[in-house]
Amino acid sequence: MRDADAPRPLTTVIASVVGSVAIVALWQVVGATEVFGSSISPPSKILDVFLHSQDSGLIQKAALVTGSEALDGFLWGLLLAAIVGVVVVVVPVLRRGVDQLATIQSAIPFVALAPILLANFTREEIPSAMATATVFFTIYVAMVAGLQSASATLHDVVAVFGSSRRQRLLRVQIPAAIPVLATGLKVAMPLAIVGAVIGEWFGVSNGIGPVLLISLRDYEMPKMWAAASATVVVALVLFGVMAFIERIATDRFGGAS
Amino acid sequence: MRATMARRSVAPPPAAEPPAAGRGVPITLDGVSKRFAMRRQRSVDAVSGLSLSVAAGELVALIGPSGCGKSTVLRMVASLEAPTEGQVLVGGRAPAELARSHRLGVAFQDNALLPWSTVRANLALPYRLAHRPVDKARIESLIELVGLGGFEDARPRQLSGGMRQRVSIARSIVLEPDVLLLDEPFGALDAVTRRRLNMELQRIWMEDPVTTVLVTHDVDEALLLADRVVVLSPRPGRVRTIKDVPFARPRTREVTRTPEFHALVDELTAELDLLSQSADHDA
Amino acid sequence: MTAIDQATLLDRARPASDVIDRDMRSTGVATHRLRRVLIHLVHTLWPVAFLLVAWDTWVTVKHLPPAVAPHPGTVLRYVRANPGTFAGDALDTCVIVLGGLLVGAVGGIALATVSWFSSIARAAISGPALVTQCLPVATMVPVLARIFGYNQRTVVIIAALIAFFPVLVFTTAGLRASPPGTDDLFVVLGAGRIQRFRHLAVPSAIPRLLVSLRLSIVAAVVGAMLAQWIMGTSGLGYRLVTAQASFRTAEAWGASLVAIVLSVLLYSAMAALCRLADRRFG
Repeated sequence: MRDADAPRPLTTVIASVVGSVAIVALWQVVGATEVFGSSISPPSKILDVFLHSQDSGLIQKAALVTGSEALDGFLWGLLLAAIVGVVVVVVPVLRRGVDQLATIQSAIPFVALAPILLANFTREEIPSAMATATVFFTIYVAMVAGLQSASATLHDVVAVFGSSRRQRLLRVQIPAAIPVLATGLKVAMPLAIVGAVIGEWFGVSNGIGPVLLISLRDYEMPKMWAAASATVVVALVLFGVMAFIERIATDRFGGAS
Repeated sequence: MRATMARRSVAPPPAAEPPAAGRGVPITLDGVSKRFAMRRQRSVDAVSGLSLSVAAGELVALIGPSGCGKSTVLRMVASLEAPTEGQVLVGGRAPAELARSHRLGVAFQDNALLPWSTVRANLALPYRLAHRPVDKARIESLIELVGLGGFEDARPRQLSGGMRQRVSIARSIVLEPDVLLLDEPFGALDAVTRRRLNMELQRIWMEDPVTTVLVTHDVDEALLLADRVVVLSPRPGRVRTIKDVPFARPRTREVTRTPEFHALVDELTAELDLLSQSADHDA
Repeated sequence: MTAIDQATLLDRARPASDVIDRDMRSTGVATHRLRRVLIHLVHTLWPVAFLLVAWDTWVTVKHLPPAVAPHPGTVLRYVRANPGTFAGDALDTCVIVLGGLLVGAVGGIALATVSWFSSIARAAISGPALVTQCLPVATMVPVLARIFGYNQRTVVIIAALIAFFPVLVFTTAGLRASPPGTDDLFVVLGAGRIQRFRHLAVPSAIPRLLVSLRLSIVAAVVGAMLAQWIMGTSGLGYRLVTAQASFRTAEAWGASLVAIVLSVLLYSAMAALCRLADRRFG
């Protein structure tokens, strides 16, 4: 599954570092010389915004707001997906229909959700609600796959030992679901950020979304790039946390060998 | 221990037969068939008109060419499949009833241990499923019995394949079931480990000789462990031959080197070869 | 890594629905074929009926004014009354999505191929590729709009960029997913690099490429709609934002509905194509 984890010779590491540095350097040159116009701010100017400008505090606060909205929506998505996942595994008749519903839901373009969300939530709640909507499918798929990941033989063994449906769920299926669910959560985390930012575009004044739009309108390119970078940093941090949780879950609950 | 067992057993052994050395309840399969539905209205007969009885405390090995339905027979006794025709009775009751009252023990080729649980917790699982207090002393003694002292708190992935199968066997007998069902328990192990575990299984079983059905494709294994060896014909599975195994227990390595043992091995191997060939021609 | 995990998730999710298929088949042996078709239809279509009924009940029960949330009937009537304009907008968005998907997929496959042939190239893009996998690309729409300008071309670029990343990641992994030992076998048989690519890497990559295309087409619709919505160029996204701005609720919901149907149709078409290709090459 992770062929990238094969032992890395030193040259690979060097090439990887060189590649990353080269991209940043190229970005700096393109930005500073403005060959593609003044829209591309070089990394040095973005850094400058964070270190010296008065926008720095604003952007950091906005990033925290967006991050917490995303986390909020993410947790709601987890709760909903976990409940629905358990229900369709316990009542298999519902499975096909709910799968279909979830697929339809995942195919809905975020923007098309706007009228529906606006009719249901206050504007302040919309970023979190949008984050929930964006993460639901991925977490649901992971939850169902996880609940069914225990081997058929294990199900056979506990059946022969005279287990009840509830015992099978609690003692076999839910523990088996944990590592797969953790992988799903990791994948879903960046989606939550996307959902929160887009939700903010539906008309709230806090968070990274409005900062992006205002600097777009006012042509404040370095500020816009700084806000975008802050979003990436928040996404990376949350992703890193989820990757860590995933590793623990796989260690503790992962399969044999 | 024997006394508590007798109380726990559901049906007393039939009065006509003298009580066997072992424990547990008899198994009877009467004209049993199993048909599996396939795609496009087709079906496959895995087992057809099979009759067999296993006495209380007897160890019977089922052997046969691959795809002869021997696992299906075991799964029907284990309540995992229902026969299409005929009747399976375990201690005079339906297998599902025995499963519900937690009186069946089972081990498969795939160890099917809980990967997130320690050896100890895996052995406690049957108690928990039966809503019974965990008998810690029994678990410790079983861990000693299967030679896993010192690995009580290891998780399955820290154990070798052979060690996992030991845990799986220990789990199958932890509740002192009325019937023990073993489906190729050592099928995935290398030959050396397999032979050693066969000897150990014999020792473990002799401590508490309960009614046991062992499914295997290994003639040596069957002859080492079983009171009777039942050869099944290829699909649909029927009883082809039943061989009594005359050797006294414990069957040591010396016994397995005697000409008598070899003769039986050769005889059964030749029969299996013949059955496999006819199966290949059919296919 | 992320997207590969997602592929495993999707792959694991598939057999589950196959199990249901099998269940239905085995019960079907005894029952009539027509009944089986009916059961299948009910199983497949109840979600749509459920959604429409739930929507209608929700509007009625909550006494929502038509300006906030119209009844499904109202929206459907509105769409039916203006078939031409909605079809035009849908076509506009559809063309952009397909164009973006094509550009993004070709780019992703090309870069994945380069990185298969050159381990230096692979290593060089591995770091940035890791970052892009958790990059909230959709939030970069304003940045891209500013760089490329407010026009159709930018919308295509955004759709392409969003479609590009899954294809790159999945194809890169897929090209290296040949069954264990086969690579050694090909070397022993004296196969050259091109031959190994053609006969080993490409067939191994196809299943994952197909998964990525399914993900990408949905992502491309999201990107195109979002870009149209923010930049106000054309298509369903633009229709949605103008209708919302002037409080024409039925029209806004209509645009939403058409976008959802378009997205689901594109996804289903892509899924069907993938199944076809899977049967052909898989």
